[in-house]
Amino acid sequence: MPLYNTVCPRNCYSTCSFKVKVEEGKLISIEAQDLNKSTPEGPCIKGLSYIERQYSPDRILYPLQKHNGQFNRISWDKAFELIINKLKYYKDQYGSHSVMYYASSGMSGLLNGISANFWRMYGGVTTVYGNLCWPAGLEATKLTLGENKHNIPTDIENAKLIVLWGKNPAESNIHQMVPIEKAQRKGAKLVVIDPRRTPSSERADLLLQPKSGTDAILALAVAKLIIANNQHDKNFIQKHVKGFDEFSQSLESISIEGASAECGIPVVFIDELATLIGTTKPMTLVPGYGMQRFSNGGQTTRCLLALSVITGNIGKKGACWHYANLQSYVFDSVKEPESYYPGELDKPNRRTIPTAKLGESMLKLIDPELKMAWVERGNPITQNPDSNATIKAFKKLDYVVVVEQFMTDTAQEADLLLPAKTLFEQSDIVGSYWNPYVQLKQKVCEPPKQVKPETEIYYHLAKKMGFDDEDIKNNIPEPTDEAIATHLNEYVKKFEELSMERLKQGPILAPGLEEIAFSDAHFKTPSGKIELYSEQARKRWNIDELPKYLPLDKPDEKYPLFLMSPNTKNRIHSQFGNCATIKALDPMPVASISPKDAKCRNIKHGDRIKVYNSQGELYIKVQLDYSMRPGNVVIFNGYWNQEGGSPNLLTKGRETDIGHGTAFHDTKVEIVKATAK
Amino acid sequence: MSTNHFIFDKNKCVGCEACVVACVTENGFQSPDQWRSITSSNQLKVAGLPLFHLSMACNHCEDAPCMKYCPAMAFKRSNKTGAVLHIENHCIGCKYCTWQCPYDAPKFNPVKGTVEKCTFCESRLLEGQKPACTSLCPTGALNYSSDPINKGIVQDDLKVSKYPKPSIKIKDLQKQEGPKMDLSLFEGEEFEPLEIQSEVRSNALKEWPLLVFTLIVALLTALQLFKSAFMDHRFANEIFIGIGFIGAVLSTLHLGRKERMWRSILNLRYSWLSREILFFGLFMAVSLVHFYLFDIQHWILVCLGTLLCLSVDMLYQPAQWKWKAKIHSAQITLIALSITLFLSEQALFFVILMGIRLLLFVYRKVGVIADKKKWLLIVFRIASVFATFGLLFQDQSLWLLVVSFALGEILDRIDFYNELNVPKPRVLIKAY
Repeated sequence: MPLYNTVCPRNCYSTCSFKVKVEEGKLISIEAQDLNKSTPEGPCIKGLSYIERQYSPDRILYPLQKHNGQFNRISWDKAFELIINKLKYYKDQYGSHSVMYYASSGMSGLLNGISANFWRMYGGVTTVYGNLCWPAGLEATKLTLGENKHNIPTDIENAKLIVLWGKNPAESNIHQMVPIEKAQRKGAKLVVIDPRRTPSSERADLLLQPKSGTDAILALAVAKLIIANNQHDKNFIQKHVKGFDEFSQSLESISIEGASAECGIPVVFIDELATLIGTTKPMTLVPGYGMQRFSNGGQTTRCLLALSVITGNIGKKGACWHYANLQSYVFDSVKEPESYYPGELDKPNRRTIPTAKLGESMLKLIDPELKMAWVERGNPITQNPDSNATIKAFKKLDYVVVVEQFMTDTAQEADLLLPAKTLFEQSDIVGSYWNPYVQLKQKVCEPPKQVKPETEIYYHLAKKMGFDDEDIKNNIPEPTDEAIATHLNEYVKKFEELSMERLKQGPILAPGLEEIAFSDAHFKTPSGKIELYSEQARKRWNIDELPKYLPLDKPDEKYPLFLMSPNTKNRIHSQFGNCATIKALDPMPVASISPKDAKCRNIKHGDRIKVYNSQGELYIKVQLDYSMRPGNVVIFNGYWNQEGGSPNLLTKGRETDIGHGTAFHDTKVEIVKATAK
Repeated sequence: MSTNHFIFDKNKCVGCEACVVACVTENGFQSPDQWRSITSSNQLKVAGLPLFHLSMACNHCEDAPCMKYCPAMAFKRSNKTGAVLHIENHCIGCKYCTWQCPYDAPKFNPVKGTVEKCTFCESRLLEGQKPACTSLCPTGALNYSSDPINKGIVQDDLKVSKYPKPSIKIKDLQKQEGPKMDLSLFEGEEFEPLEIQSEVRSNALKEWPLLVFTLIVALLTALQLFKSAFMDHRFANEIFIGIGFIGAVLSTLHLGRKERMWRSILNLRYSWLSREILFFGLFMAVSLVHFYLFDIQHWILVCLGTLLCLSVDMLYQPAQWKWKAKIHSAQITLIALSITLFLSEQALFFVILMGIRLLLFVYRKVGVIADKKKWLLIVFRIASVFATFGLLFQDQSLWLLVVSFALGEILDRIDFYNELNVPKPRVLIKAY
């Protein structure tokens, strides 16, 4: 039975390589692919569910038109006709900007660019800028180090101290737990900093649980102690760091006791962390995305990064700032985070709105107002902040087209639903923001029934729209496997290390890869040094030149609890929750709270509660967590409203201080025992 | 003996459940219980206490109790791989193996009416591949090996008294305590261990056919022991046979596959279920012969009845691990004896026996009354004993006496079924 090499194209650190066994066009099983040294044991629970997902009875397999609230099967000809009529009408009547093209991170790959090509040919549409996930941290890293890259994942084995700060790899990047465990077996210490006691912290030596949004002051207090104890790396600082003196001076105003009161970590624990970081080398600091999804997220990330910088833990074996590794994105002309920024791509053509405030911005748009939306690879109704505003904005539109595999909350709002391919039904090339490989996602079976890959949908639309043939040829490959292969080969052939044939054999290390990032001490900042003091920070984002702690908005007494909406191992954002196997293990969303917060509200384990704030409300079951820092409510993101509720019913659309990220975690709520619903 | 075995490293497992899904993908959807499951300690995440996971399916034990005690001989060992394999079309669905296995490996599938379980991925092993769960563990915590292993060694902290020599090697935690954390954050938090509701394997309501059947066994045996003139009336004989027939029908009702009932006597060598069915059959057959054909020595009937009662009690032995006293007040043998003394009007012995049983009942209940929903049953049970005593010496209404006595016995037996419980790794590692 043939085994095909492929890769999981989800928006996930791990980007696992795996092999799929196919028999007479049918997928049989999934096997591990050990050529990828970062994911040698195979994919996680989600990747292993692909076989079930591929043949799910819930999959959308035909174009569906909504009529009186019901979806009815229609032919592709009819679907194309409907789309063409709408596209022509709105462009003529209101201009092409009355159409919004919204694509998110549901499936990565180079072919996604073709969608944008189509909308450019159409005349330019309204799109979003920014990102829901990680740009505050990306921008902070870029300001400081000049680039987003880190050591290869297995290098963590060489660390003597590992600090997971706001990251929970046991659920969001399970393969990272392997080198962490190996390092621990060799005697490394593991510190976790998170208001929750996550599965990643169970084998840790130290778990610090700061108040939400105060990570920066904790980091600055630690920096102050390290410098006071004379444990900073003076040689490294002198050679490679700009602004150390200014940074050091700025710490004078910080008192350890004051910092302790602010972040809720006792002084002895701050001391312990400072001693560990000050005396244990090499250290790999692994910041997650959790602590940067705040309105002070960019500055917070700069404060954390300062710890790696002043201790010289950059550019060496086992010493690393392990945030994002974009080294395998060899084909991108504009890398993240810049590719998210307004005006960086398609300046004249595009009208952009922030994805962090999607619903609100859609509703506010004038001249022209939005009339139509096209959504692919995304489920904005559950995943963007302020679901209520997003739903309202979608309901207000005249016409919504959604390309989807399943009946998500967003798909339910469609007037026309188009079936989407799975990863097994079209080849593509996928990079990773964690592991260092370029990988080929191979087509291993034909799309079932009436499923067409997006490239094919766009090809037909372009033809039927009457776009110039030469233009189409340059922008959209013909709907054949050969044309797709040729299109991908255009990218691949620029690198002698890569070829389509070689990629079929397994993952290939990214051309130009630095296994130990920054080992050449070459920093692409304006000064060529690591910039603790960054003029760019002031110029681009109007924040302080130095890493600073900025408290979040004054607490609102009506809503005293922080709402955290982290990721669970059982889904990647809003995908996979509908698989029967996963549903059996994780049937419904719950809100985890501390028994202290429960007791004073007369709430018991298993009770149904109402979580609410001025944005909205959510009814949900309570699970007591006896190791959670009091003052927090945790609801995993990704649950659909139709299965019990997304935490984004409660989040406010707000951008992070830098990078146009989304400050999900600024959200405050109150909870009460439910009386109705 | 095959040396194939699982290896599980607690230091590496983060509870991701990929092994569960790997098994489902390989072996098909499993409902309501997956063959492999993750059990976590400290599920409330009590601060300061460690939390670890165990991934368990079938451990293909050398002395596999499921196989040894299956009344229908529905298990076999694979010569080539050492796997303990379940033969679906031999299974009668009595679920007895689910009581016997300390690792909770056999899972009852109500749709099929049979149990099903991990096969060690035998077909993969024969092809030289590892079991699916072990080849797809993302952290490498679950693995497989065919290196020699001493299966007799007590494994880790699965505190099961009898070790059936499982084919698994568990690597214990290197770091026994949880992460160091600021415990002052959690001062004043009190925790009650989660109620282990999911572990209760039976309740009287669900098992009513068995409840009635076992009480019938006690009654019939008592009637034979008593052997009054009453017994030799044709009319009474027919009642006896009638009750016996109802019992026989009821005893099949709890089987998932009733049409394979005949297989239940195939394992007389080890299975108390097989013996129970055999003794019940013999008891009824000999009684029939006695009633309608020719006289049988009375001691033979008494012996058969006693053996029947004992085999019923022995059958429930594996489920008694949680009880404080090894003898339950509602063992069928005790009930049969009580009925006999009652019928034969041996008031003194009857009061002594009932007194002992009451003491057993109270001893068992002391400290367990936390469950307030069950206090009513306790009160009624105790009241019925005293009412029976009172009525016994008042000589007022015979019917009232019989009803009071019978009600008490039924309540006690209901409690017996409600308290049946079998060891599961889930219970065993939840010790704080």
